[in-house]
Amino acid sequence: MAAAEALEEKQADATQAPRARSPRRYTDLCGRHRLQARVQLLSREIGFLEEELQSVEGLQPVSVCCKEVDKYVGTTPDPLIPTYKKRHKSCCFSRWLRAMVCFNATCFTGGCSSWQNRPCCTRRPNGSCSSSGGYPSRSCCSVSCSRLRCVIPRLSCPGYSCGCVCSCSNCTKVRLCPTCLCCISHCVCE
Amino acid sequence: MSVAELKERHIAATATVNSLRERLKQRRQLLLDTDVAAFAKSQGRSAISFNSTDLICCRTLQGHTGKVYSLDWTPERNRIVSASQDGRLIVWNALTSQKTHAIKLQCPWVMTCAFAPNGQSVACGGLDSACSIFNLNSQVDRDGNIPVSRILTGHKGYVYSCQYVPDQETRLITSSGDQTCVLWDVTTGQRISVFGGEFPSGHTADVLSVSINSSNSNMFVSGSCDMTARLWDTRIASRAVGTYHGHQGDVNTVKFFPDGQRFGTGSDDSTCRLYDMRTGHQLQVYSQQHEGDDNDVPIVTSIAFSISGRLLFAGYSSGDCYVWDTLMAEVVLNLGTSQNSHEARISCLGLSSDGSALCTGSWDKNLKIWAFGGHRKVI
Repeated sequence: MAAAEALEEKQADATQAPRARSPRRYTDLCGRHRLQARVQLLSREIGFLEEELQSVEGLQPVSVCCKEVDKYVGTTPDPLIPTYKKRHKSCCFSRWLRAMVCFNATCFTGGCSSWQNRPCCTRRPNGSCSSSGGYPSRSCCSVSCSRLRCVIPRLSCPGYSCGCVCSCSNCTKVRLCPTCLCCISHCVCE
Repeated sequence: MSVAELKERHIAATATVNSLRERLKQRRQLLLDTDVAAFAKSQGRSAISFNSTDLICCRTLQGHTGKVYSLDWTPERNRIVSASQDGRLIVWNALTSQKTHAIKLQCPWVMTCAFAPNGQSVACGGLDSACSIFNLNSQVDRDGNIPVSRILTGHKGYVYSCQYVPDQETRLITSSGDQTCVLWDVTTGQRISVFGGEFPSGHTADVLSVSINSSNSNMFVSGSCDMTARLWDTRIASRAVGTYHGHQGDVNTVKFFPDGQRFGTGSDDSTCRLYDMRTGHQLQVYSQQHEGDDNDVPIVTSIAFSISGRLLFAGYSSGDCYVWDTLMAEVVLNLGTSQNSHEARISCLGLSSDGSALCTGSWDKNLKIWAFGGHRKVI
């Protein structure tokens, strides 16, 4: 009898629907940490923005910066710009060398190896010319301009030429070697 | 804190950030009383006038067999290094057009190159996520290649831009697709500082360009796909000194203005902008109307300022290379329509150290050197 009752209970248990367990909570650790990191980043960003808002209060207006730009650009010479302001006479002329630059056949054929050792002509006080480097002086004496100087060659007037610049008080234009292959040995006043 | 609470906090913080940014924008707007062009006009300035033959192409450097991606001048001696899709670096003598070195790279996907201040080494980086250093005085190996002398590893994404710190042979800054910039010690190969990344405030997208301030080499600016430029102090890696908004597209290129107090940017939104470093003000937008639909708007790939800052050279994906008068915000010349111009996108450009020449690199596989060849007017 007892065994039968036990069996009945067992069967009753068996027929009872199994209790559904609540689903196991999947802990999305990666996503949570990422979210936390993003919140931290945003908190820092808020701090930086609040600091910036405070600093903007005392800032100068844009016009002050524009004035600084305008001033800076106007005072710096630029080799790529067609116009430049003449420097004060006493400063400019005193620096210029009274030298003539020879047309250097070696340079023309590309034999120049050094910017520093180009031969130069000089005009003597009596108006005659002398030259160094064994080059004929007659090309020096074709200069009609009283103020000439050798300049360091640039890509607009590269090593194959002497990079002559000529200017005199009558000239309003300074002429560079137009084809980068020859020197201008006289002033071009236009 | 539960995920739900974190999500609520995230939403609230995002709203606060947006609100603060809007307030900041409005405050700055109140200070925007003029721009550079309006100020210059009020001072009676007029635009620089160029004849079509004033800036001429005086050299074409041919030799790459793929698109040119990057170039850099030496601080002296008129040499240029270029990097190309052909997987090579070439070092050129700019005056004679001769190639002095041709370096075949182990990883051909190079995107950037730079000359060391002493002109004895070059650096390059690309899709290998590393920066390789080559000593030009090294003995070549059996195949005639210059061996790599150091590889700087540590970036987790491609290296898009690199620059040596002026007057410091051993310091280099790189920018990367991993959203960071890194300051390296080239001698040891170690990272000195990482700018940006997950926790410190930094770019939130790929960093495409860097420019180091030659007046103060502790400061550099970076440009990113997150549409901002950021100013960094190499001594403080924990946060950007400033963030500069305004562009509506990737900031592809950044370059300091010659006075070291301002910098320019160029972007996918087809504009260049001039920002004041200290105040954060946007001083000028350089924008040109383009014909055609919005999908054809050319992007700005590279910029450089002339030595006085009066000219801004900007290379575009269309092959144009506009010469902007920075004061008047006008295009005064287009090297893309000059004689002997490039036939494809201008990908990079740079000015020689003495300011007398501009070099442009293009997807047409060539580099070109431009210099002044006209008459100078003394005023």
